[in-house]
Amino acid sequence: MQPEFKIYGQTLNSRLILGSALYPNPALMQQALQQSGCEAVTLSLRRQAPEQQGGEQFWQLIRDLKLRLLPNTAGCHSVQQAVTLAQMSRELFQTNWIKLELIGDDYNLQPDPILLLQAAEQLLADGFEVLPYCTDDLVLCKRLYELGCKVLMPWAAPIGSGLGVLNPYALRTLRERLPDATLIVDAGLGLPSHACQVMEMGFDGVLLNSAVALAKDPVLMAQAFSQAVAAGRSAFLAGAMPKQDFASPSTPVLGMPFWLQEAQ
Amino acid sequence: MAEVTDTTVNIWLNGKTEILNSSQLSDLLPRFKAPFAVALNGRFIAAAQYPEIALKAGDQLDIVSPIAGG
Repeated sequence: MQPEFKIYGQTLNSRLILGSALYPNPALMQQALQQSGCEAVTLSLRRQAPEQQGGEQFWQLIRDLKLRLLPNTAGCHSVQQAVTLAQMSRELFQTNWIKLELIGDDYNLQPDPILLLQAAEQLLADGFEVLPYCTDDLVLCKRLYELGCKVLMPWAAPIGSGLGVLNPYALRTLRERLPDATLIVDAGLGLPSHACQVMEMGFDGVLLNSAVALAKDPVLMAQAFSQAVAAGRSAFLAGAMPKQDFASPSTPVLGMPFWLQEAQ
Repeated sequence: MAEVTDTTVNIWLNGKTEILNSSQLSDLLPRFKAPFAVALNGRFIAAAQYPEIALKAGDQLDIVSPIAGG
């Protein structure tokens, strides 16, 4: 029996988590989320502008989908900002889950490892179930895990870049060194093959947004990612053959016609 | 926007200056559509606390609602 995919004790039947941003329109977002089979979706909080319409429609669409909500702290640059936004999210979305994002550089939106540890410690002490968006740095991930973050979300590449896995060694090492952590690759994936690659490495899940939302056909791409994640997971469980630098014929050599054995 | 008088309070509301006729947070909130959450001077204010909050000049009030996110 395959081990279940759990986030802080909650079982999810899909190992794909999608974001809700950047879709061409709300209807396509809804269809893409439905067709992906995902059971959790990320979303955020921003200042309400009463003169702007559309916020209520988004909230209604998300609620209608009946998915688990994973609010983020995107855009936060300080521990206090992230903690306050997390507390606001908990009240509004009625969940202890928080995708903790703390940006350390505005060019590549790289997470700030020092602030991330400080904020994670505060939020865990306040009862949150923290899912930190982090780099693939092994020591940072170990520290976050030791603090009590049971789920870690290392990047594959910068958010929205679609570059795929920039450092496969680092991700493989994370999986190797943190065998009991729930590891979800978050950010930087552009193609279903990227998702399949990290699932083949043994990652527990994949979180992405832009690769689906910015595809020419987001609904079809959502399905493609769903299949890729499932295929990668099956491949990991199946166990890959060992690599070698030389060829081995797959068809038996014995009995090959046309060969003549030299007389001794 | 109201004129500044002895009874008005000038605050930052969602990043913009705002002159309020009442200092009570609960008098301001009906302008906003649920669901929303509130922070005052960068700190979370739980819904149960709204009736107790009196705003002071220069306070920074943030009222946020759900949006799409990745």
